[in-house]
Amino acid sequence: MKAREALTLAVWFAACDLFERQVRRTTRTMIVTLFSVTLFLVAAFGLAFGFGRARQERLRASPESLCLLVGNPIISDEITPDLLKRISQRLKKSKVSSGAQLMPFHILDNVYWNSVPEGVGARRMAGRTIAETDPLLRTLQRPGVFQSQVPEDSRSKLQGVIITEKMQVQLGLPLDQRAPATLWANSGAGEPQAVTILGITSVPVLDGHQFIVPEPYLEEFLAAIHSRPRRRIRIGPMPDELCDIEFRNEFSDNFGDQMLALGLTRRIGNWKIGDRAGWKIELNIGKGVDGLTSAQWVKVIEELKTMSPKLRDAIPNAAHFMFPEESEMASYQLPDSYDDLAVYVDDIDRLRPVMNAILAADDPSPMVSEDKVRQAEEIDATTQTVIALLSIVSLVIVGIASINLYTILVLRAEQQIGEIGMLKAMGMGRSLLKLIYVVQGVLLWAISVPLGVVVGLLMGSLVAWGCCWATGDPYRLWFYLPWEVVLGVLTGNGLLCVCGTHFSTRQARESSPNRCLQISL
Amino acid sequence: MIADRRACFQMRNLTFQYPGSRSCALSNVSLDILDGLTTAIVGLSGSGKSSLLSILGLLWEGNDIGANTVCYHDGERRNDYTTLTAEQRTQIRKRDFGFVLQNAFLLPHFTCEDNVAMPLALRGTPLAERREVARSLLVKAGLSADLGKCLARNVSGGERQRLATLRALVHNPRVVFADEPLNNLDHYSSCRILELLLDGRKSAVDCESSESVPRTTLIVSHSLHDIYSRIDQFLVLRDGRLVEGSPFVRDQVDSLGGIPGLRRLMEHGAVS
Repeated sequence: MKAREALTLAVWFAACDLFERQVRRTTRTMIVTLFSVTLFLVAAFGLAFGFGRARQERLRASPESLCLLVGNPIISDEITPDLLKRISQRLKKSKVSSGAQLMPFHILDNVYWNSVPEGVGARRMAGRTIAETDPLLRTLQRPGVFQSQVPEDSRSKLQGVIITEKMQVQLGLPLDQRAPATLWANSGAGEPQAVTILGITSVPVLDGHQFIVPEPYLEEFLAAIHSRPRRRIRIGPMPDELCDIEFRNEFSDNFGDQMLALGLTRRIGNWKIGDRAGWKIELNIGKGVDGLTSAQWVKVIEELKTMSPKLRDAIPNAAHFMFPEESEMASYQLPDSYDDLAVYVDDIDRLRPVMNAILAADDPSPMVSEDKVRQAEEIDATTQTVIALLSIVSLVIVGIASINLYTILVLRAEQQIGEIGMLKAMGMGRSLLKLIYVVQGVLLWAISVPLGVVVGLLMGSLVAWGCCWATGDPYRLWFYLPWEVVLGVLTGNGLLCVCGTHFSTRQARESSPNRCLQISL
Repeated sequence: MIADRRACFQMRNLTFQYPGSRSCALSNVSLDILDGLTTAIVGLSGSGKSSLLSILGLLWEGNDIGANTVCYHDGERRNDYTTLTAEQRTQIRKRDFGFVLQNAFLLPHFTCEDNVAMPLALRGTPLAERREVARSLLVKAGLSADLGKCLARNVSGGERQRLATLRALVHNPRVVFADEPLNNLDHYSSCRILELLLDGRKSAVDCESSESVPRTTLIVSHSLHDIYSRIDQFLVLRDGRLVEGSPFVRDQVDSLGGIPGLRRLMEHGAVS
């Protein structure tokens, strides 16, 4: 018998057997059992997860989170990873309240990069997300504090800020206004100083090391503020190792000359501290090298990698830089010159005021955030406890349901053992018999479990909605079910059905026809 | 001529014990059942008739019957029961054997015609075709075609018995094992069923016009009056032992009482 015929026969047998009048009641019992278990699992876990999620969201939602990125391309080799880490850690403490956080943002002329905060070397914008009550926000509206801490000669280089939509509201900017706009920050000494709003992002900046900006949107606003839209936005973190590359004692004496001859470096100098000496190189990618294509760029990296084992290790794949394919290059023009990709930063002083402003700001957010963090941790702990308890209850329920299901299936198999014996006498093989019962399990599953999932989702959502409606609290109870749980419920119940039908009929399948017939008599 | 026929089944010194039982159901039984003959197995209740039938019908696993020598010749090759795999047993049962057991064991949730056509379904015959075959067989057996549409659970005991017999015949098997096939049947129905049961089988499968050749039929029955005239061989069992087993020449026997083994059974009222 061909596989298709066997399957057809198995489905026919299984369907007839499941819905036969005399056993329809037991079939209904099994379907109801599976349906109820599935419904319970989906609804209960969805509400349990939603409970924690709602409370976390409530915490996040108050106070309002704001994002402020202050651009100031400053180079310094004194920005150590440790310093950035300390700042970052301090700012991250208040992440729950969307308090301050370091928002590294690298600008290469009109090309925007974002990077990891712990890195050193690339130009950065110091940025932070601040709470509504954060003094740093007030500094923008209060005379002097913020701007006065930025040295005069750096003010002109202030690129501007990127703000969130919420901040847009709070600052009283028209909602339909898109960047560019101007935020007036009081310098304290005189007239308010204009700070350009580079962009307004709808992306909540709650945490982390990346500031993901929707590329089309940035393109749009960059197009608006520049007459010649020849820029490219890079999104994604830069690996740490790229941000802290030192090439000391790595190259031959004439390496600097070679690189300068190639026009690939901006500055190469010797340094000597005590008895230690070496090269200090600033890679000058693009500057003075008009029309450097991506292929050339990659070539530069590859050349550098051949010269320096350390660089080779640091840049395992030049493709990381994600330069566009040559075919894509036509769609936008490369700028006449790139800004620098500096390997070293050489002047902390120009960045330090901003760093100090952040560090020294009378920032209440750590105080608030500790509470918030504690609350968040409590919520997580509570949620995990609820989930754990629910898992135990679910295991018990699933266990009882399994026993119930298995017992029904065993009784049915015993009732039908004579018929099974007769079928075997007529030449029905074990494999076909097994297939029939597996199909029965699949049919049981297909009827009850997906329906249970759908009804469970609806019921859970309804309960959550009803709870919010009755209390008027949008964060009272949510329904949220990770897809992994749904998949687990579907798979678990599927296994239960198939294994139940398989094992309950094992004796009948394995026995000789005569043994089955004898048992039935 | 009977003497020219090849042995369809051969059994040598078979001793069989049900698993878990101390007494032997069959003891040192040796016999030959010739191809195309109708064999009646008779004996008192508990003498081992059904056991013999089930062993010959491959309803036990190989290891259940131990190292006893039982063979079936399917016309092409000799199948030793002790060496057959489970799959080979299944194939032989499906291809060559038909069973009418004491209990009909119809599948209650299938219609009568689907029950009758079940062996064809197991062979992969399309649904419409097998139902057609089943319907024609129902008519031949004197059952109404409408009965075929009924669920098997709704039919009477006599009809069940007839349906079970038809199920055993529907796939034109070489051998039919019938364990008291005429139970619950009136004389008229018995005659119709016997006609079908003891009629020869088609020499070619699924070919209506093909020549009819004798079928090997083993019948366990306590009532021999109706079938006596069609019996070629009696196997008389007593306490698991074969006391009479050779084919007989009908012309030399006037009546059932002329067969020595049967005479005693008739005296005990075991057969009539």
